[in-house]
Amino acid sequence: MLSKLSFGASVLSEYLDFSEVNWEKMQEATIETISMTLGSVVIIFFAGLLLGLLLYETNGKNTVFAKILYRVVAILVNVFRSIPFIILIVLLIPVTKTLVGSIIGPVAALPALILSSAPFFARLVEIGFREIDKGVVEAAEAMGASKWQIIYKVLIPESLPAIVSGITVTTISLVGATAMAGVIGAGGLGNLAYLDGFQRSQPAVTLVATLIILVIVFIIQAIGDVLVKKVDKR
Amino acid sequence: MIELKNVKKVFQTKQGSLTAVKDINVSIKDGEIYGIVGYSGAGKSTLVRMFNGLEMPTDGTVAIEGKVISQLKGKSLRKERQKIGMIFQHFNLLWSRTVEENVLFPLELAKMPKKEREAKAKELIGLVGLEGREKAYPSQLSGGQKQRVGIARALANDPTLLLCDEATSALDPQTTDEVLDLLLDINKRLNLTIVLITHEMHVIRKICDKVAVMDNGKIVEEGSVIDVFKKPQQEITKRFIRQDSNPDSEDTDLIFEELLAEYPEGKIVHLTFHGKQAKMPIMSKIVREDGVDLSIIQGSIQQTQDGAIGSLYVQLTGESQKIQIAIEELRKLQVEVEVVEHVVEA
Repeated sequence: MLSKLSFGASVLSEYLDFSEVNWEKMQEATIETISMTLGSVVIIFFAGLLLGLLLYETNGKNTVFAKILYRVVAILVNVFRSIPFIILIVLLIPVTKTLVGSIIGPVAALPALILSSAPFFARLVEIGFREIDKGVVEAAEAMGASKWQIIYKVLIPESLPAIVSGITVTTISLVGATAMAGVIGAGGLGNLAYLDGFQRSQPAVTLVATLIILVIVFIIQAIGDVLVKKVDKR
Repeated sequence: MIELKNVKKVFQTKQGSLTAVKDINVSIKDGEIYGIVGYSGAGKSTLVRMFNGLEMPTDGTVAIEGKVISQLKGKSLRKERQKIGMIFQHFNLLWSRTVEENVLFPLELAKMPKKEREAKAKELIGLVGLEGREKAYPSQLSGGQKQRVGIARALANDPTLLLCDEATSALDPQTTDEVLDLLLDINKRLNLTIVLITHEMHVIRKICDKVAVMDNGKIVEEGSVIDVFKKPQQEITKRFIRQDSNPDSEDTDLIFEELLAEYPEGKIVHLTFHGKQAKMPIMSKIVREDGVDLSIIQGSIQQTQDGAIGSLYVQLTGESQKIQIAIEELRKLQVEVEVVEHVVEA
């Protein structure tokens, strides 16, 4: 009994041994995680929006071109959404090497982050567009709106709540992905937890990294919720 | 002037080709309110969408003020559409925009300068009676108010033609009448041509000048509202009119059956009065002078754009010769008389 208790206490003390934590390194890793997430989110947002629009516009159209385009995009979306991120990142090493010139550091994580999340976000955008009442689009057409005017004056504003909540979900999953990217040397909190926490047996480092990631996720969710509430006038 | 010539629309579906509209020849004068009535599936939605090129005819032409809409494409079609307003059953407002922004929307599409745009929107919101609600979102409005926004939006670019796609079908009777009054008012004030489709004869009667009855993709009957109401030719038209003038027609039919069985020598007649006859003591004159007995089964009087129309179902009993004379007498007084021989299914 007593031995079990002391065992528990020793585990706890390992987790709480904050003297092992190098706060400067922790801060640096946090900044790396945030910048990796934000950098990829910006690209994913625009790429996903474009891809989602393409999916929406080509879905159900009867021309051969639209049918082929939809198939191709849909297959790409499904493939990249299905590959486990840790495999994708390894799979992409040669591509990353040619594109970025290195496979280490935050920038090297970008290709894998974008390829895994942009298709996912594109699907959410497409669903958002499709939820818009067809009648509203028809009304805009009846008023003489051009294709482009329909996109930026009807589709995007009317599906904004879906787009905002979609990008929130995507960003949160990206935080997780950046941690995984850390394992292959992309830096950030995942990298720190792996190198110092796991390989050098410093559980306190892992605990702190976990808590910081949780805080980041909560903040992103809170911002997303506030924004959705603000744009949703339904 | 709007002219549809030999318009036909065929849709290709997986089950084969479907003819939605065929042999449509219509001409509508400027400033007219033209109603198209039909049951759902009759092709009226497809037809109304051909006026602004949302649907293009498979065959035939649609011309507005001499411009052949059905041959326009791209930019020139969009330009033409800006001069054709349209309102919808489900309003189709942008929920992300306020009332004011919804009205501004077509003006933005037409690239009107900002100052003019705002002045115009203000004027339109006043026209439809929504002052003070400019900053409200559609979700905060009632159905009637939403349709008013729809109307203001449709009128934004000073159209010459307004299309109404079942514009009152989602509204309660009271609100329907308010919206119809507004449409009539706008028609008079702006000399705006209105083409509306509906499945309610009530809407036609209240505001239309002319009516076309659609069935199975074809116009089966057309004419001025008063003529069609007075002397409907087709069964389907009679059915529509009867539903409007006598919502309890099933009950009336039951009474007909009983009376026909009970008094085989008597005659049930449907009388239609129009204009000043509706206000004359015709029936008492007939009873007094022709010596027939009369029992009233059902009656109603309704207002159209061209005076009142009265409908009366009565049973005439007495000597059959006298009944015949009475009917002749009624016809002489320009009352439409229809002898009910058997019960019509309404």
